[in-house]
Amino acid sequence: MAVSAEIKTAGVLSSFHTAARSGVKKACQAVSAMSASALRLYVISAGVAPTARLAEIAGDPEDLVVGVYITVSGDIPGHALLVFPYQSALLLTDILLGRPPGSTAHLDEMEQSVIQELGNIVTSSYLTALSDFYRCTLMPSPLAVDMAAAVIDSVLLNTGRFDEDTINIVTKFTGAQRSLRGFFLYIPEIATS
Amino acid sequence: MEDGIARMGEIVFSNGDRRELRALGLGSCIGLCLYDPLLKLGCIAHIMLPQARSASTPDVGKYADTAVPHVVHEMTSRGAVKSRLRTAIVGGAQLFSFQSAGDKLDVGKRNIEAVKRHLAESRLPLAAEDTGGKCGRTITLDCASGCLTVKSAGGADVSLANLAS
Repeated sequence: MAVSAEIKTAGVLSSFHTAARSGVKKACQAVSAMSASALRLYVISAGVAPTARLAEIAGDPEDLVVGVYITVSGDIPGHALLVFPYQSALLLTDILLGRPPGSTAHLDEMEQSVIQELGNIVTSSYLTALSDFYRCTLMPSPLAVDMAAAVIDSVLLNTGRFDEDTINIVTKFTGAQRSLRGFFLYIPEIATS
Repeated sequence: MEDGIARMGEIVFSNGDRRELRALGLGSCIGLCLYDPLLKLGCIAHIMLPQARSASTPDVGKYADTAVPHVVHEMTSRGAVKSRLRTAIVGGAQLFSFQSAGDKLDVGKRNIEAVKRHLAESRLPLAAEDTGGKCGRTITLDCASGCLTVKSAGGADVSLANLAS
């Protein structure tokens, strides 16, 4: 069942706000459990952002970021994007792979697969928060390392149909280390009928 | 817009004070540049999708089918002569790919084809292009010189064309 157009009503939007916060909280718990080391993520803001402002969420549109794009089919179809500034992605792989901070200088195959797996965990935890009983298939794309605005526009445009009414649920988070930050974007597919 | 930066779906024009126009981090979007070398008048449209759902869309800059005729009309209404207009397009990359999706998701490619088709219908030949690939791009059009530069992530500005010549 796709999310219906009635989602625009305030009550439903409010539940998405709540889900945005609890979704990433759940994801953070899952990530913490996955890494024996102390990777802790904290939600710093969660909400629905207007499409026109999405490109500015990451900060400077030209900043180098790492993006994991996951399309979701099934009960809650949509598009998920997990974005880290490049330096945060390096630090993140250090933590997840149990390396001393500053060890990772490039994102090779192994580092990329770690971040991709993180994208899967965050997305599936997030969807669990939206609905306790869901059946979804996640299809992750290989990582993109590029300008923030280019990463965001690529996902937005791939949703096929979007306008000012498109619901963009954005959750920003930070790590215990302040230099680790990122955001998670979920765009549910709205039923056309 | 006031800063000369065309954000998604926006169109910016040069004027007396603003000689440099930019579009930052084009992914699958297209940056369409038009330039009249005699008047040193330029514009950038940051186009997002091939086709508007309705011909009466208020967001003319978002779609190839509405943006192309709109910028031609706006440029000529500001004094530009159509036969003098020099045109360039940049963008239409595919940053993400899925094994099973094929070309279906390649909106960048569809954007490139749509913009080219509408430029041809408006009888505007392309002077330069840097399209496709897997990388995002930033473009800068210096309307004083007509120089169009392209920058990739972490790279430097590279001259694509001088639209004045």
